[in-house]
Amino acid sequence: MNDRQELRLRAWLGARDPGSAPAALRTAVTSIPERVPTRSRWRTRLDDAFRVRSTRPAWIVAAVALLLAALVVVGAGLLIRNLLTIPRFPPGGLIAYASTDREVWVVRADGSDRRPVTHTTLDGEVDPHWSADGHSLLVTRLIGTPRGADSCVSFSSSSLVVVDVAASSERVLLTLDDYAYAAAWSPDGRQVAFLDVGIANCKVFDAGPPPTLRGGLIDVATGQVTDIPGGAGSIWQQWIGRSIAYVFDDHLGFVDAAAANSDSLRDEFRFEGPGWAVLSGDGRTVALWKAERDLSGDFVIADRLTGDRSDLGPGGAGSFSPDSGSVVYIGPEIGAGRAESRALLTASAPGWEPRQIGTVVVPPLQGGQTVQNVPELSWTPDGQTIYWLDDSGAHAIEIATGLVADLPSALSGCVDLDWQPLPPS
Amino acid sequence: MIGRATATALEDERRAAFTRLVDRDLDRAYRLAGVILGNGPDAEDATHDAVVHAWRSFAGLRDLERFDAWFQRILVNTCRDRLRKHKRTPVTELHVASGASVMGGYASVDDRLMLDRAFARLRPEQAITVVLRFHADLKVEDIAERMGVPAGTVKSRLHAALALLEAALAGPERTKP
Repeated sequence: MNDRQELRLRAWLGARDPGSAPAALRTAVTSIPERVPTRSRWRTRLDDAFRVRSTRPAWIVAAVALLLAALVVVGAGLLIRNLLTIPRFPPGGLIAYASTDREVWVVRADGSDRRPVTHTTLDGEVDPHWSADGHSLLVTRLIGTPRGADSCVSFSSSSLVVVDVAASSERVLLTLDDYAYAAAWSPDGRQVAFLDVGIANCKVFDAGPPPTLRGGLIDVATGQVTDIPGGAGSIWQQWIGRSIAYVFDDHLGFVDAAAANSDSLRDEFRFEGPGWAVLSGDGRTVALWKAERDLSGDFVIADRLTGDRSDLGPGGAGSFSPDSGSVVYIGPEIGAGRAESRALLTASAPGWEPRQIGTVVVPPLQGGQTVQNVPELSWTPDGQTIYWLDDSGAHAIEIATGLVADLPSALSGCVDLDWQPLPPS
Repeated sequence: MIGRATATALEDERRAAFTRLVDRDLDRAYRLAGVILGNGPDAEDATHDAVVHAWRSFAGLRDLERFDAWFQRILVNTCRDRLRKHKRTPVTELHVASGASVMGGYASVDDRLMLDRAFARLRPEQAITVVLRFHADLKVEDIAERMGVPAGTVKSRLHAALALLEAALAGPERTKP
């Protein structure tokens, strides 16, 4: 910019100079707080400015009150949204699951705190079960099924392993040349029962439960193993108090775990076979269903003491609630839904009247498939929610409301899962 | 602990000092605001707002000798905020009849309108920098202090602003009528 241009700019700027301040403005800004005639909006703002000390606390109180009100509104909104859309899972519990990577992991229902609890590279672990105190996991190690192997391959032997989740340490209870199947903690956590199915190829499961060679019982403290030959031929087992209930395809057999041997097995409760049975935790009630591959047989609830039976219509895959007072099972959908969809039904003592709470997806039988892939239903430890696995992942439904939620995506494709028990009250 | 009477006396003294300083600097502040904003009413409001802000912050001013620079900085910020606000409001351009006289009578209406339009295109920070440099005659370092930016930023703003004003300033010089 040359001198002449600068002079022109200065002249133009000077022409914008309005001159001295108007008297009204001077009076307004130099006579506060006295009341003087001036522009009302100036006086108001200047009065406020000169009263700043006395007004500031009120503003602070108002701002804090507004902030608290906003927090309450937001919090209430989140709470309502939570109540309306998400089943209430037991607080804090870990879900243990066997992943397709052949390791056992734990994760919370909200997807947090996910971590592996087994770390084998040459073997695979399946079928995790929490101990009653929620500290340890019982897992079945399939020896010779490394990570990345097909989900069902031959394996040479198997072990039952107890993993201390907090300490990340493990202890091998037993190693078999066969498959240690259906392993289960005793209620007091001192013993583990298992079935020796005598095969080392899980492909056999495609044709139904494998033939059991014998039952077995392990003392967790000493590692001593007791054979129970009477368990041979059973298809499932379940702890009832201090007894082991062996499920045969047309009756139940019981063994006193304190005196376990072949002579102590007592048969009872015959039913029309071939079928499947599950007992309530208190041992009082039995759910029975025919071993029809499409669950077309009747689902029956029977009282072991009185012999009373309630026929709930077609269904299967039953599971009793932790308090033994209710059962959930899969049956025909009320109102005829999609072909691959089945009703999730529940019934409670004493009337055992079926009630539909939702649906599950049951894929139709494929060519060559002989056993329908019906989801296995389980209860959360608080008895409020049912969860299951299917091809799309793990799902849960709150019984009281029918609200459905997907469990953490990490569980998608997992093969077994078990919910950590509630801490003792 | 300071007694209530003592506190009141200190408050009165503080208020009297502020009023005295504002009274001393008011004309200069108002005129500077007028040049920046281009009209008296806006300058009155901006000066008033600056006084309000200054009073609210006056307790934090430790050196009263620095009052003029401190207050001018508040005024500049207030004017900048008003310019930004006005930038967002639609402006209706007035067409002035050729040959009409203007305030100061230094140039033709065309000259003034050209500079008015060029100045209006400047960003608020650029416009204030030009005013502080060529009307208030402040050095670059003083402008930097008033605007709270480094001296280099002031130089770059000046350079950019003058480049934009160059077209208006390069036109044929008009002589006084």
